[in-house]
Amino acid sequence: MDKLQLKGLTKKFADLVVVDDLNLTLRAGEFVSLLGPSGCGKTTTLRMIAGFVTPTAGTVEMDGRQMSSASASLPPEKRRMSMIFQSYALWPNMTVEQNVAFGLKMRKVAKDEARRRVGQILDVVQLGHLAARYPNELSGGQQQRVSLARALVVQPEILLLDEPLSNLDANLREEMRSEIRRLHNEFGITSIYVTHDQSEAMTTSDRIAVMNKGRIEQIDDPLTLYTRPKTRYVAEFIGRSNILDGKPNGSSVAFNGFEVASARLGCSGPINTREFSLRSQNLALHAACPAGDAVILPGSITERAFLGETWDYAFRAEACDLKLRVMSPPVSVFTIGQRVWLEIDPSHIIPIQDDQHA
Amino acid sequence: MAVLGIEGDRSTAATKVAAALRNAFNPTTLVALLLAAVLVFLVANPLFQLVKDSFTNARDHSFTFANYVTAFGRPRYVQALINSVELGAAAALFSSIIAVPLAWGVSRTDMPARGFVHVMVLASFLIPPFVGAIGWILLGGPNAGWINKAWMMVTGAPSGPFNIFTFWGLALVTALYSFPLIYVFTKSALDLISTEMEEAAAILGAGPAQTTFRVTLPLALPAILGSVFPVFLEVLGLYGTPALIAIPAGFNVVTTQLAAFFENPVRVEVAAAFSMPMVGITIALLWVQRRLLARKSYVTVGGKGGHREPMALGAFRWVLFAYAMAIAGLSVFMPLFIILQTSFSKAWALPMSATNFTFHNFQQVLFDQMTVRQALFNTFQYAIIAATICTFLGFAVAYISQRKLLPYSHLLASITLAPFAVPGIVLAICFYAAYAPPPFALYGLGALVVIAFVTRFLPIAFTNSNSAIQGMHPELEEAVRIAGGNQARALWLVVLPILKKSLFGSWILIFIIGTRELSTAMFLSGPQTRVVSVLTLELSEQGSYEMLSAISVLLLVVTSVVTLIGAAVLGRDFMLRRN
Repeated sequence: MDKLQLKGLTKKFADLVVVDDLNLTLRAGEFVSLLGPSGCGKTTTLRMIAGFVTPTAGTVEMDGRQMSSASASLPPEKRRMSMIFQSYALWPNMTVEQNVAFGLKMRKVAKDEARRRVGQILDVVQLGHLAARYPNELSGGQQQRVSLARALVVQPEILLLDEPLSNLDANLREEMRSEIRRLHNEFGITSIYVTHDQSEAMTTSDRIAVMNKGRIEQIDDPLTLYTRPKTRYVAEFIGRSNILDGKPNGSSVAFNGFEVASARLGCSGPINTREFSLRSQNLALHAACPAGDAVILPGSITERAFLGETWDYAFRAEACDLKLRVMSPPVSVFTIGQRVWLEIDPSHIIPIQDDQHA
Repeated sequence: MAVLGIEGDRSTAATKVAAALRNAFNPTTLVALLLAAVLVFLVANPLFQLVKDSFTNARDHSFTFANYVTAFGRPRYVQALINSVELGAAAALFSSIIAVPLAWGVSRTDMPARGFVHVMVLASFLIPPFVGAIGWILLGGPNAGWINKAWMMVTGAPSGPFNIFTFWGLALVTALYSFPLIYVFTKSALDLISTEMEEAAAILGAGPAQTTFRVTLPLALPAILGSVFPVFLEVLGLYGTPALIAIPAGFNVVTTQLAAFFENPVRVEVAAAFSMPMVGITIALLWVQRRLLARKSYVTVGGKGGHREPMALGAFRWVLFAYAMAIAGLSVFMPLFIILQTSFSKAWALPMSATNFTFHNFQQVLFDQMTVRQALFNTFQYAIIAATICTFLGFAVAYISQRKLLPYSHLLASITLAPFAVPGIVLAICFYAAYAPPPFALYGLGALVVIAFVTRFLPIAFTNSNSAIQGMHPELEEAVRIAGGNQARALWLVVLPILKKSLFGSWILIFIIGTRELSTAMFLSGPQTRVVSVLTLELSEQGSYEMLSAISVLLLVVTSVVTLIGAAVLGRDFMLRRN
């Protein structure tokens, strides 16, 4: 069942197109991330869904009912949604309990019922003992939990999250993103999560929409997004990719220094692009020439950096000027200048479209 | 100093003092000790003299409670005290009713002409209260006032409905010139509230009115309260407006009663005793305020500041705009118009006409009347000197206490702030008690007025510098030190250049309020050292409203020009910034 539909959603500020003809459909109970760098239009999209920003063109529909269009916009307070703000936006003049109860009061929930639900949700986020505290007496993580409780207690139609973890330090961020996913599994509220952090999007989302310049470049589940990037932009934004130039040549593709049969590449159907993505992680270095039917290229190490969990090598092929980045496990140690053999599994070479907006 | 730092935990007062003595030849220390001496002279000694005098028999200098018996022995005197408290409360209430809607309208709504409304508030801040009061006497006098004459002309009634010479008239006029403080505090609090705070309420189902009353205004409440108290205290110590309005109306407030004790024979010790409740109330209120705000000082968690959409009020925006314009009319347009018109009139009560038009008043004020010329000259001279000394001293104390260049430097800061708890008129009594009699015998000298001004405005200069220094990272100076420069070099090459704008801003602010300071100057200026504000009261008693208006116009022109210079250099709101 479709819960939320964005149709041709567009927002211009003066001449600047911030969101450009964006289409997106969320099923009920789905958790979707809008992922992209700052300025890609993801926050503006979220604010149009919330009703804080009126679109220039296009519509926002919830349960088939129109919420926003260029001519009419239901005010935020009538949408029965919730939102987690980047700053949490906890009201410092109210206690934790009053903050959480606010939405119920606005919905005219009976006092006893409200108290019960507030108590319940505070227990869910493990803050029952801090109900009487003021927000500035809580730690960052606790404030984040209060803001989650405040958003969830009203059982919103849709939960909007605007970079909710960007004010937390690294450890807390990891803890809170699993907390967010846990609460999603428990309550099943349709959620949209805006972030610029791919690992946050990966761990929380059912689907991720990668945004660039006001458009969605690709929307897929996290694994597909990683293994089958459709565009150069997605390939470079998610994880690390080497971009290869290739010339389709009948039944094979000629790359710089080697040629591979089209059937062995990581795609089906005809190949009509000239750029291909090859993840650094999917390459292997060997000190001696390995056997097997993979592509083997002799070459040498030109740079290296140890990142703790991996080695980051720069490889240069002997026969041509092909340069590739290779991620290797910590145990495979090579020195700069050392002669090595690079093993490429052709099924990891993914054809990608040129950048749509180049 | 490094050694001191290591033994920090165990260091006692004795070792700190010993270290200070060892460093006695360090130039910083010498400066600091000199500063301490200056502060004792400016603040501590006068305050001490006030208390001492209140317990001293004027004739034989023996200890006595008699002054208190005299001061509070008559119901009339006690009534003056009650009147003051009531006036303070009424004016604070009116000020809030005026200021809060305007601040909210300008800060968070789509009210039309917000910039203009803001400038109008600035304008009413720039009008000296006694000038506004003179304007209102011309407008609202019971028979000859212009409002009443217009009323009688339109309705044919034998008398007008409005009388400024009443308690409520006084409260209104007072509020019209004290509300800007509440406005400034409220507006800057509202400006700081992240829009996300309101959006969070909206998305949870709160409409615009609910958001305003349940979230926005409660968040600004500490700031509103934090400015209502100072307004109350300011009104308590206000002299000019009550002198112009309450005395003709036939009642006294504390300040006019204090002035009465200074009429011949001068009874300083009774005045000192009578001023004690005022000092007590002030200190008590400042303490209460601190307690009240202790837990509620909201540090709003900053969101993305950039995006702020004003609240759409629909038709109500015009209601709010009309209210703002009405306030601007009452506090700025009407009084200024009547003063300007009067300054070019032969007789203010006559209707506007070519026959009534004259430049005579300005000629009198600028060239003919030596007393007026002298007073104008004195006013600007004292204001310039006091502003310069204040800015320098305030900066020195702030810098020393912020950078902890001396042990107990926070004590210097506290002494510097102490005059804040003393109303101007009481300060005048302090200085009269401390430095008018021998051995100082400063009475009649401009120096006495200047040092009293310096003391009065020192807290302003200090807090300005203090917050400016606070906003400057110590690493900037540490970078000079590590590159081989000493503290003095860091001060000269880095700190002063960075802070020069805010120091200039505080100089201008002190200059402007110095040109209008009345209560502090009142008991301290002799025949040769009169300032304009004191002179206006005398002219008002004589009923020379035409000349008075001409003086007011001159004062306003100078103030406006200086303010415009300040605004051009420092930005429009340099005086309205909250510290």
